[in-house]
Amino acid sequence: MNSLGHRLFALSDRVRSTPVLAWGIASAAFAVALQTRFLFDHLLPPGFPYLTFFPAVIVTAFLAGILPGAVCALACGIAAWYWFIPPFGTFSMDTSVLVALAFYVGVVGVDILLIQVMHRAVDGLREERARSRELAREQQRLLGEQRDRERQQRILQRELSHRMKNTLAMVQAVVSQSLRNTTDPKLAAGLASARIQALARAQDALTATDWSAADVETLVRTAVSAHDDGTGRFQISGPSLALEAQRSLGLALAIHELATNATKYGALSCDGGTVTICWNSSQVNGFRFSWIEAGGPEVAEPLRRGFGSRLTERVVPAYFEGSAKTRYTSGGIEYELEGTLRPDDTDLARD
Amino acid sequence: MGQSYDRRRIAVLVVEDEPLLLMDAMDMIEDAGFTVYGAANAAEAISLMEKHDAIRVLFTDVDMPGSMDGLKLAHAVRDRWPPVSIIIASGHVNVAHERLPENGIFFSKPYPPASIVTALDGIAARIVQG
Repeated sequence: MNSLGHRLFALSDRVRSTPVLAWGIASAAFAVALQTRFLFDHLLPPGFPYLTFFPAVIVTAFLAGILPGAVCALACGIAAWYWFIPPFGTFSMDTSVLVALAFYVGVVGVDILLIQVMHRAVDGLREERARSRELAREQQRLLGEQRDRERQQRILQRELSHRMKNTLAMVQAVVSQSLRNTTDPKLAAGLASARIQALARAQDALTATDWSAADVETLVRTAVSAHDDGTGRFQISGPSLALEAQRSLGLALAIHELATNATKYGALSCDGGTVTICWNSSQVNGFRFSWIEAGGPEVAEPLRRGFGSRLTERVVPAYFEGSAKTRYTSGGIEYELEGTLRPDDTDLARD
Repeated sequence: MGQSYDRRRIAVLVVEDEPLLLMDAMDMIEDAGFTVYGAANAAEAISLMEKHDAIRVLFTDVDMPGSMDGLKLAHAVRDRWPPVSIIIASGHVNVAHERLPENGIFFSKPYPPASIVTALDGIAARIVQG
C-alpha cells in the first residue's frame, strides 16, 4: 500500500472510531452533495438526480463506516427523490420513479458493500501483519533465551571442568599422602580408597545447581554414615548452614579421619562409646565445629604425626582460615575447629 | 641429572589456595631435597619473597582468591625479582602462552609430580652453572 493509501486508511480508522466525526462527515457529505446538486441543477441535462450523491455516499461509507454510509445514502435518496426526480418538490411514485429508486438503492448498496469488503480485507491484512510481528518478536525472544541458556551452560561446563580437575588434584594428593605415610602398599591402598570414598560422599552432599555449597548437617550425616553401626552412637546437632564447596570437602575429610581413628582406637572401638558432633556460626562469619568422644578407652597423643592428624590439625583449619585443637582424654578424642564460615567477601572475586 | 649441588640451598615458594594441595606440593618438593615455603595467596607469597633471599623458584597456582591471581603474582615477581624462575599450574588448560611471564613453565592440574621435580632440577642446574 502506498503512503496516500496508508494515510486514507489511517484517517478512516480514526473517523470510524469517533462517532462525532463519523456522523459529522456523513452530514457534511450529504449537505455538500445537496448544495452542489442544486448549484449545478441548471447545467445538467434531465436524468441525473443522483449525480453528486454517489460520491457523498462512497466517501461517507469509506471514511465513516457502514451505518453512517447507509444513513447518508438514505438521506441522499430521499433528497434526490423529492427535489430532482420529476415531478419536483413531491414524493410521487410511479413505475419510472420506482425503477430509478431501485437503481439508486442497487448502486449505493453495491458501493457500500464493496467498501465494507475492502475494509475487512485491509483489517485482516493488518491483523495478519501484527501477528507476524508478534511471532517474530516471540522468535527473537526465544532465540535470546536459548543463547542465554547456552552461555549459562558453557559457564557451568567450564566451572564443572575446573571443579573436576580440582577434585582430581585432591584425589592425587590424598593418594600420594596415603603412600607417604605408610610402607605397606596394601594398607596405603586401603587408606587412600577410604579417603577417596569420603570425598565422593561429600560430593553427594554438595547441593545447589552448581555444586557450590553443602548443608553442614547433610555433610556431617553423610560423612559419618559409613562409620555408624545404627546403635545411636552419634549425637549430631547444629543449625542449618550452607558451607562453601572447598570447606565442605575439607570438613568431610576431617570427619573421615576422626571417625576412622575413633573406630580403631577411640570411642567407636568399644561398646557404649559415643561421639557428639556440634557446630554453630558465631559472630560475623564465624564457624565452630566440635567432635567430642565419650565412653571410649583412654587415648594417648600419637608419637608420630600421620596424614590424618596433619589433616585435622593443619590442613582442614587452613580451609576455614582458622585453627584446631585436639585433646586426648580418658573417653576418647576431643577435636575443636574454629574459623570462618565463608571466604571474605572482598576475596570472592576470582579471575 | 647428577646431584652435584646441594638442593637445600635452593628454596621453592609454593603458592596454592587449596590447603591439601599446598601440603602435598610442599611435601613433594621437600622430599626432592629442596627448601620449601608455602603461601595460600599472593599477599603471603610477596611477603615471603621479601623475607627470604634463598627463594629462587616460584611455583604458583593460577586460580586464587584475592585481588591478585597466580598470573598477576608471576608477573609481579618477574618484575621485582627477575632471576626467580617461574612455574605455573592451573586446572584451566588453556592459559594463553602470551599471558605467562617470559621463560615461565606451565603445567596443567593435576600435574605429574615427577615432571615438576624434573623441571625444578633443570632450573637448579642452570642456577648452579650460572
